[in-house]
Amino acid sequence: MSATISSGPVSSALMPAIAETAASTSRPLRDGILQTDPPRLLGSVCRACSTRLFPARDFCPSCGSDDVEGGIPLATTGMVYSFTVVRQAPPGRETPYSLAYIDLADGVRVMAQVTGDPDALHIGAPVRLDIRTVARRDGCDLIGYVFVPSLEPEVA
Amino acid sequence: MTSIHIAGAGMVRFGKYDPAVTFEKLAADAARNAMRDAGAHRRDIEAVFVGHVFGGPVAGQRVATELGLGGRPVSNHENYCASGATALREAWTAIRAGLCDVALVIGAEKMTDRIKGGVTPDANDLDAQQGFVMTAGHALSARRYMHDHGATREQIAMVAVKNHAHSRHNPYAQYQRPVSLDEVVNARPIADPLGLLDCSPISDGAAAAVVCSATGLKRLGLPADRPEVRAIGLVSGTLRAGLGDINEEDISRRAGLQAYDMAGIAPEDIDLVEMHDCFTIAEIVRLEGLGLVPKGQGAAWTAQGRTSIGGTLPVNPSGGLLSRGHPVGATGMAQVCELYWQLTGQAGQRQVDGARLGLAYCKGGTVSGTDGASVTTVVMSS
Repeated sequence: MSATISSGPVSSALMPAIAETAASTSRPLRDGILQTDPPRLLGSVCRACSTRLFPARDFCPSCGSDDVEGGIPLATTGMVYSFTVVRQAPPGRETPYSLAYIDLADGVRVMAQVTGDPDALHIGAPVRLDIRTVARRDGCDLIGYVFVPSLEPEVA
Repeated sequence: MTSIHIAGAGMVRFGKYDPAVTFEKLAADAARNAMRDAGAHRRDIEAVFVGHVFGGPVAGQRVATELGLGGRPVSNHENYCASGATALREAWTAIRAGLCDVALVIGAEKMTDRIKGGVTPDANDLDAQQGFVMTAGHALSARRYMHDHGATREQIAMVAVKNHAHSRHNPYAQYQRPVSLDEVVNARPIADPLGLLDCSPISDGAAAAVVCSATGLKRLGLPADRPEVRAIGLVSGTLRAGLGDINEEDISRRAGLQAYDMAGIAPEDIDLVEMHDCFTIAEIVRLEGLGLVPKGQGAAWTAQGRTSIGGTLPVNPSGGLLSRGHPVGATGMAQVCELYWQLTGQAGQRQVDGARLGLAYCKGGTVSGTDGASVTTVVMSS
């Protein structure tokens, strides 16, 4: 499954400008959490203890260090740690959808929706990242992230 | 430092009220019941603390005006489902600081005319933007708990069966009829593996207490042996890095230790628990986090009846959130009302024998990346 971004690639360096420009046709769900070329989630890494986080923070919750680097592309493959199929949600969200904790290959846990057949999902299932339009708001595509079941063996 | 006591408690029955029955009326009725129980007149109340989530701006002042308590300090407290207990903590703090001797604490919520399809984190929360709803979080927890500990779907469902059995005898409960295991496991699916009866309902209601120093009790002409609030823990969640156990319940562990330490007790001293069972699985993992049940054994304990009235550690004799109902800002104070009735031997057919030391636990809200938003732990003794 490929990304469905209507307005072409967006580099992370342009994101603040895009978020502030009303005429843009697409913007990320939130500033600084992803890039589209190549498609990656962006996190932070602690220079003291190597802890990685998503989304990025300017401190390390593991060792307390302030020596943290942001804008770090995270692994694009991972495994389902736990999952559910949401069958009832407040108005505005179509059900059902699968929601999971994904353990990325570089040790970061991300909550995200997983596409595909919910009945085939299981703990430990390999998945890969897909950056795509996840919603439309005020005439603008919102670019977010989902995970797609992967049949190939996981590559770290 | 003065001891802090519950001089009187009162509720309105939790349930679904007509839209014409206002938040203010529910809250004021519960407050009047508590004041009547304490024998407190308007002139005795020095300050009002109100916990709510969806009551809107200055809801507490609207309620105080209804009660004829205008002019006093009135404050509003929001910690999602721990709002009521947080309001109690603020009153407790003010009394210990010597600011007042007699305070009115109210938890109230009117949900059925404004909440549809379940409660969610704030729309700004990153998890909420992925489609996280509270049920989903607990479904993820349940699935992993079953995987890690070999617990069965039926054992988890037994939390609902037990709590519905308890609230048959609670006149303030939204539901007062037994529910079978078949009904729970075959209920409409909400977020797999959890179904409708694994979830606390969307409810309206209010609960209140008159909270006093020793001096305040004297002023009200009450004996000095009214139930004492020995401790109130309050903690927030911490960011979790790495790939740890989502059922680790470090936030519950810390909230428990804070309360045990403050009250000078050990977990094994506790006779009964009012637990925040917003979902069946939540009761299990939180009891474990508090150190009241061994890790991984909560589901089995429930199925064996050890957490039923008459068991080794009765949990939710009131029916809990699953069956008493869950008007979110009211729940913490409803737990305090139940402990008060249990500790004064007024709980009727749901009375826990020998109830002398009780713990009430609330967990309010979620913040993406953390193990929760707020947890309160109230320790009360007779």
